[in-house]
Amino acid sequence: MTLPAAILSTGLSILFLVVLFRPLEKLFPAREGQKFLRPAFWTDLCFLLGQYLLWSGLVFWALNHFRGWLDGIVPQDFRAAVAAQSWWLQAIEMIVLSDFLIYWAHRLQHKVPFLWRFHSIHHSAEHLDWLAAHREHPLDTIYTVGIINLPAFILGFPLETLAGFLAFRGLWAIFIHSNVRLPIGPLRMIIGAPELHHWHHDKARDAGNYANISPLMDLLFGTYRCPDHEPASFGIHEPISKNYLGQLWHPFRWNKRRGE
Amino acid sequence: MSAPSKIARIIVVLFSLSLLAAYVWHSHVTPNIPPPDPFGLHGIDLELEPEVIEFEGFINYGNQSHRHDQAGSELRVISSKVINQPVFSVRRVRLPWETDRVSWNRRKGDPFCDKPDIKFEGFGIKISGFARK
Repeated sequence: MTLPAAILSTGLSILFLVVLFRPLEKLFPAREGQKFLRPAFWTDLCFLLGQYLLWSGLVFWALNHFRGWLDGIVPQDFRAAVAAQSWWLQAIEMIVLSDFLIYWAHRLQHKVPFLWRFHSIHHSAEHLDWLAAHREHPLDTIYTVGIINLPAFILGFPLETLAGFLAFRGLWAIFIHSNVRLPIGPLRMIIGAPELHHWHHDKARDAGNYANISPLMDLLFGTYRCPDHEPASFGIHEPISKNYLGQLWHPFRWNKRRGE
Repeated sequence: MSAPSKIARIIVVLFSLSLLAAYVWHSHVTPNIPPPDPFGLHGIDLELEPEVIEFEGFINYGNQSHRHDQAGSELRVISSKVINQPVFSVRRVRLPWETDRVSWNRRKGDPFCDKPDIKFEGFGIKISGFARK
């Protein structure tokens, strides 16, 4: 993709996200009065632009190599046995395994200091909305996307046949960060809702809700939290730079600061 | 500012759901096209019957022309025609795998799928390529 095409594509994507999420945030606000240009808007916009224009290539390259490496070590007999099953069974296996792995990988991100260095960038957002969903360190993205796709890579399942599901999952990940409180009733036991993920971003940090698209893993492992109100505040306790480059560098100077 | 009406809220939810559906649809959702392709939506029928042609040698269909001199006593060879015809034998090769149906999973723009659908090497033949619909 040429640079002008990438810029155009990014512009259209931003427009699409605004048109999709802004009316919902206006009419169903989780936090009344949060403005479109809220604090740290430009920092989060830099994360979005970086993700679309720069880091997606790195993530794609890393994933491609990861997949190639797995192709070399996974026994072909195993893949043949998997492929012999019906497609629907393979798809369900992939989604459930993927949710299971990302649930535990996400818990590790909160428990292991090295992983938290990178993941803390995402949690440093003090205002949640559709844009804050993009605040993510590129290495954290590689970790998350690698884990979430790991079952498909191992099983040899062609992800392109689940393009619709993957597109939905991507948009839903943005939706659960949006400044929306739109209770979906019992459905939220099956599919994640913003009110659940907002509690995951609670500054108190002991909030649970680690699952990806469905809270079933949280229900299964006892980390499901859903109070009937919004958290008092979002963010992290550690001091962190307010600008984009400072946040990108944050994981690498973390040790030094903690060593003080 | 007055609270948005119920109708406005319903319209916004429906609008967002429509956009979401359009986006998912636009991403070429094909959840009902499984990779093994049991319904033949993305498959081709392909039968391979490889043959090995081997060179056996030549058979000479030519002969020599002779001429007698006037006295009729001496035989002279005036030309020696050699007309070699090559002889080949054809041997059919039995493939170690079924070739009745080859699944066509390659999709446009799929960067991960860069391996040929068909690859076989052996018995003096080499087959490699993508199956096209």
